Amino acid sequence: MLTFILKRLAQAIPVLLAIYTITFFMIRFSPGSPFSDERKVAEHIIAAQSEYYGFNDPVPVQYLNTLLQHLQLNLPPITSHPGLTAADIISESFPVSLELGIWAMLIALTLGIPAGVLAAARQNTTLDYAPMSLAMVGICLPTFVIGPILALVFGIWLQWTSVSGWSTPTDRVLPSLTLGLFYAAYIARLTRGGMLEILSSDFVRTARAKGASEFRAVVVHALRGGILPVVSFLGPALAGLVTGSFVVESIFQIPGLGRHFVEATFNKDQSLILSTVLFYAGLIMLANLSVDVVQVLLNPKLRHK
Amino acid sequence: MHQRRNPTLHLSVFTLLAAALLLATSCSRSPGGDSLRDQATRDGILLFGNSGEPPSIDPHLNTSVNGSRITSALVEGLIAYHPTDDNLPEPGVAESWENVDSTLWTFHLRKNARWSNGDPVTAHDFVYSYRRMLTPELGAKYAQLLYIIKNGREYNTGKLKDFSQVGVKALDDYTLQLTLAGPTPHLLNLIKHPTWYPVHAPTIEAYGGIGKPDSNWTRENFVGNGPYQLKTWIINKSIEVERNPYYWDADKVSIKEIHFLPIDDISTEDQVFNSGRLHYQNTVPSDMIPIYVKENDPYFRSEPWIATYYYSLNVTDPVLADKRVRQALSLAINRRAIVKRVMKGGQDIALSLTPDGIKGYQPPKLERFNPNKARQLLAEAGYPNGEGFPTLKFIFNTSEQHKQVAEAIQQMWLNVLGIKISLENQVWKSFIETRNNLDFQVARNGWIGDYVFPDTFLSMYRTGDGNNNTGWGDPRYDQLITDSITEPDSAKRLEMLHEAETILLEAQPIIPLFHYNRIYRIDPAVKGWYPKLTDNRNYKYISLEPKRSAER
Amino acid sequence: MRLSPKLPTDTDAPSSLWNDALRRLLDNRLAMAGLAFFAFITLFCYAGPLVYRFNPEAQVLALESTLPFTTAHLVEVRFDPSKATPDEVTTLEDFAEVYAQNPEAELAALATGQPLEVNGMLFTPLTRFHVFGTDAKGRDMLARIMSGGRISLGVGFLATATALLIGVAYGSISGYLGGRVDALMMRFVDILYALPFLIFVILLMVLFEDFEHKILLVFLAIGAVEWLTMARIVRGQVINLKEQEFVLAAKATGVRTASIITKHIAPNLLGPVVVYATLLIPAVMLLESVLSFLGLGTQANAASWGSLIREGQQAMRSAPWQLIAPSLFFSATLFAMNFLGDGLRDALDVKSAKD
Repeated sequence: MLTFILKRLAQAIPVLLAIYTITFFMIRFSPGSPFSDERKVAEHIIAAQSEYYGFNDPVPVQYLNTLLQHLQLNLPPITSHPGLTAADIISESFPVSLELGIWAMLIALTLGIPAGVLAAARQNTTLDYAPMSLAMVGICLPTFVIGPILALVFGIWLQWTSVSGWSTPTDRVLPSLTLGLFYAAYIARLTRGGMLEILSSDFVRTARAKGASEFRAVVVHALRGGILPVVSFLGPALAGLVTGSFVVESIFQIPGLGRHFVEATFNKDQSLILSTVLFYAGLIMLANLSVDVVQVLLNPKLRHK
Repeated sequence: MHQRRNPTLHLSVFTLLAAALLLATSCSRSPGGDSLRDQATRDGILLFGNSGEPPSIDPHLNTSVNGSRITSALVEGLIAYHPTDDNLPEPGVAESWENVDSTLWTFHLRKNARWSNGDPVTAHDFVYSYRRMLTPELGAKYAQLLYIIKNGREYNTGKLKDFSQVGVKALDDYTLQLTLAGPTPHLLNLIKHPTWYPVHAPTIEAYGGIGKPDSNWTRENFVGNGPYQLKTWIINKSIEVERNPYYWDADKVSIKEIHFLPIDDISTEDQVFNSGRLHYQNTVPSDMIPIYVKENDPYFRSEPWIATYYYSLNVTDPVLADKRVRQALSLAINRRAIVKRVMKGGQDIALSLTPDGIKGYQPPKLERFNPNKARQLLAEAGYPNGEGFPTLKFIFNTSEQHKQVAEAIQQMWLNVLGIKISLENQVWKSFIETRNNLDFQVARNGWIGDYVFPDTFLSMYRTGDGNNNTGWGDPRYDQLITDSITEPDSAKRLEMLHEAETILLEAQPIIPLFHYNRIYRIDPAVKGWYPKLTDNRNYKYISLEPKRSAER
Repeated sequence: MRLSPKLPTDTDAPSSLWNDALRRLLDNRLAMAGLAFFAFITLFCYAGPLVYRFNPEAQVLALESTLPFTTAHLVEVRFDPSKATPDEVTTLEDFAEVYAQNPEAELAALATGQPLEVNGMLFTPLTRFHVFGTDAKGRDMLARIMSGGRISLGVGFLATATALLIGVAYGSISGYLGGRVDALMMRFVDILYALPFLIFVILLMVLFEDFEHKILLVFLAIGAVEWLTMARIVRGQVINLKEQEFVLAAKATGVRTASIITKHIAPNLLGPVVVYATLLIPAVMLLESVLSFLGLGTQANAASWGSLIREGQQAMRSAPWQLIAPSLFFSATLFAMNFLGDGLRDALDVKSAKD
């Protein structure tokens, strides 16, 4: 197992390099100047700024310089907020997104998996239709619809929670729910699908035939294989959740990382885009690696290899 | 069989739920009790919705409106914003001033002005600041606003290396002398702009020197001389400022703290205000405006603003080179319908680039909606009933509001003239590039005046000006604008500008649509907040007055 | 355990696997109801405009946000009486305010339903009735839902089908072959996950600036990202499946790899794949609206269900029907497809067929 993990970590190096390279050139080819503004900026000013940030260097030099700066974790200065660095942005906003992501993931897992298991075990009964219909509602109502509705109902009419910010515990409730319910719906549907597949397979039938209780058959024998699709889905979902959601962060005014992804692109802020993309890439790889480890652990046959 | 459920049952339950939820939305808002806002009012904290995270709060580098709202709390220039009248000078660091021929200006600084670390504010600080603003390496985007100083342009473009030849001099610690490039009678209005604010020289030097564009003194050690000083700054969450004890007029500063909240989503901001967490809501979503108006919302305000929404026409395009086509496009627009049905904020329709309300200036006006004349002009240009007219490329920056206006105008041009346009939206940075390169036929545009005088709009349309964006130019126009800037007699200046604007509107490289209103919401507990054309505030005149218990 | 499907118990006519599946599907009422509803929606979106003849893109600003089931009284204004199309359509109040010389008399004249000429201009009274009301531009909601459905259903299905094909093929190959190939293929997926989608979209817009069929770019953009999770899910399943006895047995007896993947593994993937595909369709439809908003995809005045919901959300408090009406069609269609998907999954479930 250890060699497996080490191997994967070694593979991360070329992957990150590829991501850096492609992103670097994507930014190069995208239109607009990071220094332009509503009021026309004089050419000599744009030239002076480009010089300072190194955009006048030949492209290969820029490519290597920026790469070196990232390797040394000495993140280059950003252009959309002069004075700040990508390190400032990430270190301030990532903890917020991480916390929101964890809350949302907890909600998603604690609601989604039991609902999916229950629905599969009682297929085509009310216990199946009710949670699955709710899940479909969750999938059909996108976060940009459900978020403002939750804010209106719980924040403004009932005044149970606050509608924005990220200071007090009640600030956490609505954004976590908005994000969590959406993923809960996905997870419930995927769990149900995976469980149905396993529940009809031979070894669960054998377990039942041997007199295992229904609960034991479902939870102990079937769940292990049944949540495989969920586990596969969780990798990218987890990385997406902890790096923040632009929509939810905008709706609830949360100082998370997701907004910076989008704003950096609109401002054509090369360094900030590269730093956040690499950060996200690292998380994606870590998440996918942990998911693959979990997959191996769930499958005893693979474990022995 | 009873376990099988009809799918439509679930649907109808969902329908009812959704309908109940949403219909109830339009009815009422909570009465609000003792909200966070009321608590803050008692604590002397102003909760200020500030649209978005500003790119910078360095007065010399910031170019955004929301950033300058913060810098004007933290820093004070020679002349400050007047609480009620945009054209009156409110003494800031300068106590008094005099001028010779509007060219040689002498400012006498007050001796009790202090930086937030206790250092005195001197004339040398201003010399240093103007030098910084004009230093080419700093790359300040608005350096051009200081080109009225003698040799300012030369120093900024690098032609002149010796700053002592630039017209800024400290005669002594408390006397500053400015020598301008030419007579500038309205200098006092110009230097209210944050680009003219001072910065604390030792701090700038400690954080990388005068020419460092990304120094982080604003974040680590903000030293200002304004009524407030920086307390905390959390990106995308809040910038909080508190009273500056060293401010020379600290006794007058009433509000203890201002919390600038960067809420960029306007629906969110509306909800945050409704949940009682803001005193000031910067923007009201356009679909909520009629509701607040109808409900007589006690917070709602709609006031004239020195800002115009208009379209630029590319006159270098073969089709739009014909003046009659440009005039036809303007005549075919029903501006009243745009304002009433799309913007919904009671804006004034724009038949001129300059808004009404500038004292002594009545702008010339275009003709209103006149479909017959529009069709006739288009026919004269060779396109009867729009036949043979090519599809125009219309660009706008990605935004819901611009899309709404563009769609309405697309339909009007189709209905009245029988011509088609293709709408193309682009993200901000691409849009600016496309518009600068004249790679369009019609482009969305807008301008907010820096000060209350017509040339803040009209000077853009000089031949080759960076903000012209139409390819249009007229020697007589250029001459009028240039002459007007140095004309000491105010009435004569306005006359010249009036003639210039008449030329501009007659040639019609632009189609003015409407003049923006400042539409916002504010808690009546905020006192001393007056309508102002420029929407600039001097925070020391604003106070918070808690509701008396009898009223509650 | 299972109540459905009920199969005939006679064993003397061994029917083929596919016939069985079809029979089970037909026997599943919920799935059939889903199919019927889905067929109805498709017909409604494509054939509806033949009956309900409102132009989904024609604005009448005076009709902005008209309530459902209300009749509006309007006036057509022609500056040139001989012109076929009106120069403006306005409300009676606005007519009285802007055009009328003697408002009371002229309003009374218009109330008779007759055209009226004032000052060389022709005014024709007009009544309009909109079943689901209108949007903020006075465009008929129902007509927009129909035309939006055509775009959304098209994009939803084609893009999902693309994602499905690529994802399943890629995931199965990667999972089955394992080892270095698997590592290489999955790292490639990691790369695609991490690339900034927004810049990709902006680049597409620049590269294809003058391209006529921007809707095809939507497929490209969506197709490029949505297959990734599908590939990961399929790979996870395949890795699990290939260690199962029946696959090992097939391998041992020398069955070709391709045939093992298509005959033995693919059928067992169907459950999760169908489920994930039904989840992908709404995601794809909503993504289309984001792309359209950014300028990639449909023209600004065109509708899709996603963009209608997006616009409706903004008017949530002032005109809730603009959100409710498209959301209902969107959700109902997805519910129907979901039941159909579940039925399909049940019908094709090889293992339970042995019951």
